[in-house]
Amino acid sequence: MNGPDEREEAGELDDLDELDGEILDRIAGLHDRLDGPPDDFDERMVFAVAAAGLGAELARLEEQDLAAARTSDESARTMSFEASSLTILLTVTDVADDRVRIDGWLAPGGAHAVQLRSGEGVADRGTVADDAGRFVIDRVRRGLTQVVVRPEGGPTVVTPTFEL
Amino acid sequence: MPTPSDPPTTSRAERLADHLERARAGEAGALDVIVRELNPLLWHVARSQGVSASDVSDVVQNTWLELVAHLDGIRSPRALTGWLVVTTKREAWRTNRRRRATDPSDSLIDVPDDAPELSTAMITNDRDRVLWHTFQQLSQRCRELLRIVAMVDRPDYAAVGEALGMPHGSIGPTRGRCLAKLRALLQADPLWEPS
Repeated sequence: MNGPDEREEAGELDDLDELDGEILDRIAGLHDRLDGPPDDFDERMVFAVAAAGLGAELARLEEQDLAAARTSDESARTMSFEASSLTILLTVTDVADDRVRIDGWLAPGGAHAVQLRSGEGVADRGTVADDAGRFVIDRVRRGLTQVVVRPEGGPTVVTPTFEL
Repeated sequence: MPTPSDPPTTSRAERLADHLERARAGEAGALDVIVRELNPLLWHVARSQGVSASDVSDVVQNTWLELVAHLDGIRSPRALTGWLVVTTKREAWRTNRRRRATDPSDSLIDVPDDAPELSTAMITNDRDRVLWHTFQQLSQRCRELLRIVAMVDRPDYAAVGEALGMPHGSIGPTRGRCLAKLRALLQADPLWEPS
């Protein structure tokens, strides 16, 4: 896989010989074959960064509670995401086999634009939070999702993608 | 002489530098090329830190999203590779810690598992089989180091060495020690080196 040019360069750097090169190439090849990334790994990562404009802030997933609430017909889970300028709390409630309702709360509150990105050709959903930072997006299709918040006058905040 | 299927490493570095510059200038899509080039390396970094295969997507996308936030401070492709490796390690620790906190029963999570999940029966080449078996006898530190170093372009060794927490200039000897150990074990094995 590595041509002679590359070997020469490596030699200058680290005195690698042919055998070192062979061993490293085999280590790389074995790990790729036995424990390499899945086929959709690149697409997922490209999707995740696509909506994050330059300087967008990452809201990291901090907590996830699967057993948050459970009634006879509905089950819900809560998730919280933290960025330095914004906290995003989501409660995801099942409303149908393939649909969920999302109750969100942004802190500090304000009339921030909220976008729900979906993969696989499903249309994005959007709304604007009320002055207290609350918003509801109903009948959201299950699947890979990412929340993008554009606060007035602040940097865009993006969550990682997650499965609804 | 370089052929189209075997381009010199400079073209890859130049391509990365070019796209890094364009991404920093705000060009939409320029980051995609960088993501596709360096994504496999970051997968292996996360796995070598004991992140489960199902959590790697979370770890690596946090790394990429952190890069978007900090793109302004990254000037060269080598700095980029080093920055991505160290950020992925930090995100991996964070995820492992959160996993332990939310699921204390999962005490095995901090044992880095770069052991194969798939059957090693998939290894059909004799030299590969000997190498894999011998590789597993190395220390965790050496396996982690060699797995990551094997994935990066040779010119990036120094930057990656720094990212892995080794003092400047010591990647050679340190990598050398792990590689020397592996070489010695292999060369003592008649299946690797028929006498």
